[in-house]
Amino acid sequence: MAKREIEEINASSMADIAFLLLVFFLVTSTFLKEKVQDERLPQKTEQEGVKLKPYNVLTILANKNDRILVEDEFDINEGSEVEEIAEYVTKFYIHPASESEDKWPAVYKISQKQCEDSVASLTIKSEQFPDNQNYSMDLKTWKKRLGACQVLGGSYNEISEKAVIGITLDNSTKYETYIKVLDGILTALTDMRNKLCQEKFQRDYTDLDADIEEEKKIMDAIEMVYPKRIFKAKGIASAE
Amino acid sequence: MSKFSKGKKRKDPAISTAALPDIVFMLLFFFMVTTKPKKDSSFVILKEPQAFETAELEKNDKSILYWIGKPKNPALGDTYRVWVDDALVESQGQITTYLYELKQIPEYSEVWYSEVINLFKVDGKAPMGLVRDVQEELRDPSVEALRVQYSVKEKK
Repeated sequence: MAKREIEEINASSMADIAFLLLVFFLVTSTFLKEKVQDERLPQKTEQEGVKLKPYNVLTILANKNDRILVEDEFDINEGSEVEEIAEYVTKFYIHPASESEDKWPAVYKISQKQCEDSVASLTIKSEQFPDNQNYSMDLKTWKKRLGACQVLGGSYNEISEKAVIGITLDNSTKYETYIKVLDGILTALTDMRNKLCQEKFQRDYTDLDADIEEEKKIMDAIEMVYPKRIFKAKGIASAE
Repeated sequence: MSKFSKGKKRKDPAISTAALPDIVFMLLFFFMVTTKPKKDSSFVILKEPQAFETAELEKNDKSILYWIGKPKNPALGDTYRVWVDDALVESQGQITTYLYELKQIPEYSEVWYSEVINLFKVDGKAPMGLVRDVQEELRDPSVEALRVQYSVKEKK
């Protein structure tokens, strides 16, 4: 029997099929990455409601009618909430030294020498009393400070550890109002961090990559100078 | 008689299109791999608020989704409700139980759970009391899922 030659299959329509699939995926999928705002919830502790000194707290209050008040007196205008809150937050972190007493949280100058001394003495103490959590926690903080000093050139100013931004919300405050408050705080923090980073390293903090060790160190140092400490208080007892 | 005959015109050889499907398939695979279908909720009416200062969501596979909004299904009523990973929350403590069960799964507990992100997709008009109730459950010492992200639209 003579061998019959197999006819070649026409593959020209294959491209059409592939194009069809391609168009389908192009249309149904999106390149947009989801945008988010970060927050870390505080750990649950035995003693809820620690007493804080008023000058250590920047209180931002949003009531049930979604009116925002800063420090119980400054009424925030509708429409420019983010900018106005950012202004107060910036003032909370950076304020003239002359009016710091009883009005703003204290700012301490941290030097490398001080850090090295504290790390040395705390290392000895934590070895002596391995059960005492306070020593190991202090040691961790001072090691972070030492790292910040090394990166930022010897010394830096640190806002008091007790300084926090407190957000007080009513149970019926709208979620979008809360996001506005959060946005204001984050805008201020990013601006301040970027400014510091520009000053020291001629680049933006937001451009740093946490996966690169060198840049992670810079990030940690800048976060020591401008820490994000937000504290969400329980609802106001419908104070109107 | 000229050397260059003008009589017979030579036809150009046809361009082979055999490689075209390969190219298109390459594009296709690229888009298939780099994109993911837009996740949209079918059960909740959602209008997310806008914000200037945003970060990009990474590690989507490490997040637990919380939806808070009014249900699309009229049978569920007209009040704001909470869903966790597509399940409607119907009783207090359900979220803590859900997280606790996830934490108990051996292959999750070590790497995955320590980096878990609680991604909140909340309607702009939803009351904060509800959001806080959910977060109180996250703070429960038995689960301690403290990392929270709020999904927002970027404002230009």
